[in-house]
Amino acid sequence: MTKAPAITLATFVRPNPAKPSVEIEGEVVLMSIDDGLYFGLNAVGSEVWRRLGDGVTVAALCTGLAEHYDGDPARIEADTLALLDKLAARALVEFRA
Amino acid sequence: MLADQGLCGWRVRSEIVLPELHPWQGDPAAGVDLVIRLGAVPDRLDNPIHVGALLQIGEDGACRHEIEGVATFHLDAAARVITVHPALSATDPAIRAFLFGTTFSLLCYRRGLLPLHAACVRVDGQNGPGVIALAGPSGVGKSTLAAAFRRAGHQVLGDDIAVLRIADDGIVTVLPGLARIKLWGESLHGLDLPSDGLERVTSKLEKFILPLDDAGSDAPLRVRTVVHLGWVNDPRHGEWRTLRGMEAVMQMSGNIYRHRYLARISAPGDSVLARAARAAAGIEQHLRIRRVQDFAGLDDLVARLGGLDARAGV
Repeated sequence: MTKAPAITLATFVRPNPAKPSVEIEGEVVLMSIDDGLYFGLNAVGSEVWRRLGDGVTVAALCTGLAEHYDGDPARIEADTLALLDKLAARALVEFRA
Repeated sequence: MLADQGLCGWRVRSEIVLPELHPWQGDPAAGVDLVIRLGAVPDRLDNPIHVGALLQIGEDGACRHEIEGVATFHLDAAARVITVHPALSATDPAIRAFLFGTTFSLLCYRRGLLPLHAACVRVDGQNGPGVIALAGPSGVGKSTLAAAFRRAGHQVLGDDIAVLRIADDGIVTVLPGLARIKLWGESLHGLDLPSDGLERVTSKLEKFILPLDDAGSDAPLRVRTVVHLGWVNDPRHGEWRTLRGMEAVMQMSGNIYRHRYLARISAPGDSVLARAARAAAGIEQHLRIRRVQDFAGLDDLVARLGGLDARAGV
């Protein structure tokens, strides 16, 4: 299996349009209908998802999140990259280097 | 021939008397959308893709559902004709009970709708009229709670299967359904309602059919809240909270009527869970309420929900 390229701050990321999502009371559910898998995001994950919009660079995403949560940028960057890795593993997001 | 009737906005022509439907009030020139007829049903569907103990599904989408000692039901491939082969008198209410159970839910699903195991009541909130769907498994108290809403002056739109339509814009409405509430004798007694003169759901059960004169003929109404009902034995374990995200989707999916049967007739890319998720997202509020099943607390629950100030209680 070919390993996906590492995600960096310069990576452009967007939701995979083939994987629909719904939001209920502020929490997002991502659907991988063909393989019958559903992924629930918590409040923070849902905020990340909303900020993906039609696509954004990881750097801009992290800057926005650091402002929103008024948190440690390094920690937010690490957590965001970890989440994007998980989403990428399920093809829920798409990347462009 | 019996006069045509209305169900879910469809013009229904039935050879079985269906007192839970209203006379057809739509366009007199409209075509018939659903035929319910008496006749023979094949023992085996052609090219079955599923053969279970009770349910068979054909490759073309036809379904055969058998309730031993009651009737066998057949839904045609186009989901337009239900054929009933009774094992009882064709007028026995048990036949209608099963017709408007599994077969009806299969029909609705095949027509792109979502049958939620729920009673529906109308509330007039700040944002206009809307519907609270009282969902949950059999025996949880959906009908009893709906009857309590009715006693408090609310319109009840149906008591067992709420047929939901998800519009392209995501808005979820409930289609006009069956004009009756099925209640156990104990519930009628607890609600101070007489059982005299009421038809039984089946001759063997202490369960009665309370007709609703004011339900079933209205235009679809928006579903604003789904209450996912559950019970507890100890009031200290009671629950009243808002469901979000995945939890709301899973509760919604679990409360789809006969969801395991429906999963067998789902097309790829349109699973029951996906449809339930879309419906859940189109409804403003999902509440999980678990309570002790007593009659004493019903009026308070109705008042709290009926004001649609339910959020204040969260």
